[in-house]
Amino acid sequence: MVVRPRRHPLVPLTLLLSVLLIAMFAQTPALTLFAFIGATLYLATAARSVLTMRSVIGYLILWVLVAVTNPLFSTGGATPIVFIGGRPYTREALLYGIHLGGMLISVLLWFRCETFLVAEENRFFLFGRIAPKSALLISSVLRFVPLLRRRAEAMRGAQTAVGVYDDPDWLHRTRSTMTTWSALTTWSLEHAIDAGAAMKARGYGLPGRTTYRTCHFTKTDAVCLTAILALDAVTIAALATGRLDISYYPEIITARAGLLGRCGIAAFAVLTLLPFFSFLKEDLRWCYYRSKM
Amino acid sequence: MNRRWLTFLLFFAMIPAVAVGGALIFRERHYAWISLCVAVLTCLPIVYDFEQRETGSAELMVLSVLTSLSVAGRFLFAWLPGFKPVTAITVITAIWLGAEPGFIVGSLTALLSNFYFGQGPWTPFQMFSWGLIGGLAGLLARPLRKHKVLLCLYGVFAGVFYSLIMDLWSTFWMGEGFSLARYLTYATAAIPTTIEYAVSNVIFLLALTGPIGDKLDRIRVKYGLFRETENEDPAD
Repeated sequence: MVVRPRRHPLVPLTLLLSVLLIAMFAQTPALTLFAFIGATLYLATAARSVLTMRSVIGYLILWVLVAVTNPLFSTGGATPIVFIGGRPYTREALLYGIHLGGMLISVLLWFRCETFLVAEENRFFLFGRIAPKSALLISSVLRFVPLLRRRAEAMRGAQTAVGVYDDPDWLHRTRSTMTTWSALTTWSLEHAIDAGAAMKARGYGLPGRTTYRTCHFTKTDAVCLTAILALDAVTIAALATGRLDISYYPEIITARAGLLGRCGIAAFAVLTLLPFFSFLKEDLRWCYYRSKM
Repeated sequence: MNRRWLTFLLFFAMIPAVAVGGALIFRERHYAWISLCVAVLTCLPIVYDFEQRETGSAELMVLSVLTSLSVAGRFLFAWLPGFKPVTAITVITAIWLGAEPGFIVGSLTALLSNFYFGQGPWTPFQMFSWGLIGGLAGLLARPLRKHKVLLCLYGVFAGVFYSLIMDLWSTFWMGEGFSLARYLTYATAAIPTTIEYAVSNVIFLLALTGPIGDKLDRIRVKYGLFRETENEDPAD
């Protein structure tokens, strides 16, 4: 069972966006490492079904691929390991490749976390207030896609039952798919006109309409949001002042982190581990309630 | 100058501002950052304009049906990667209903189909490229509608354009900075996929432009939809 924190969607979205942006663009191995650990811990506990053996292997292959190919394109390092076709394959470029691969993987893992951090019904809630038409488009498309598939299957079933288009010939089958597609278009466009008329009849677009809301911004949400933004500010300050800089070429040189740099890393670590801890808290509470029953 | 143009200018002024600001913080990764900014900030003014203008409920529903058809098309041909009717439906929408609906259908298809196929840092780039393919087709609506040859050429162009943009994404995200050698390697490795994109675009455009185009034209004339975005008489 997936336990979702009962926060206003603004809170997990802000967390997600800030972790993603920092993990995507900051060039610091420590930050990449924490982004990776945070996502892995959360996915392994809250969303056990996501990290299947197959997906883990896929991510590892991608990581190795990025790491190994990087020195083939950049020869900036000072310590060659081997020479391939007269070009040096350097240690620095390989390490940089490992870092880049880790960065890509942790970003991909955080995208997977999104599904579990933000409840589906709330995903477009915020969006709906800023861009109501786009939000309506998105939610209606999400409803239409399964509907269209069902309609297409119904039409194909009917055609097969009547005995039309049962020729196994490749060209014939493609043509029958096209016919189904064309009929599906007609059917769905007519339905769209009807749906539009029905919406108009129910007062869509008139002023003074209220929307159904499932989330309310509470004081706890405000505290959480402020905390996330404060942590962001510390990390970004450390990044902007160059305390977390690392340069790989010609030799690996890291900037002196100092107090600000260490605080920046610590703040980002807290940020990335927040989903895991909040899940742990909910999980413990759930176990505690259950054990009392 | 009216408010609409002012907003456009504001958004386009934002692109360099945000890009440079971010590049100062994320020094080494500025290529990836700037490209992401351009992709996102190009979509914003069009979405903003779409939100501001009067769009009837029927028009919204037609757009969402077209997007669903193109998302479902990505499903229908999921076993053949690269062979997708998405570009064709986007282009057909654009040339019959206008540039803005084309952009919206193209970019929304990228966003929404990725809920099924996997979201990632590539999503804004797909939205950007499919949106632009739609928007450009809308601007070239008249010649594309008249000449089948031009439509096919546009299909080829769209396939190559999409492939090149996505190779750019790979270059920025799977390597350091921008290296021409890396870009050329990715682009060369992607040549079979690029050809597949181009061929599938042409096939789908030729197969779908008749049936879907006629239907769109019919509902446009019959129900008086998309009058604002498309004023010319399709009969000419």
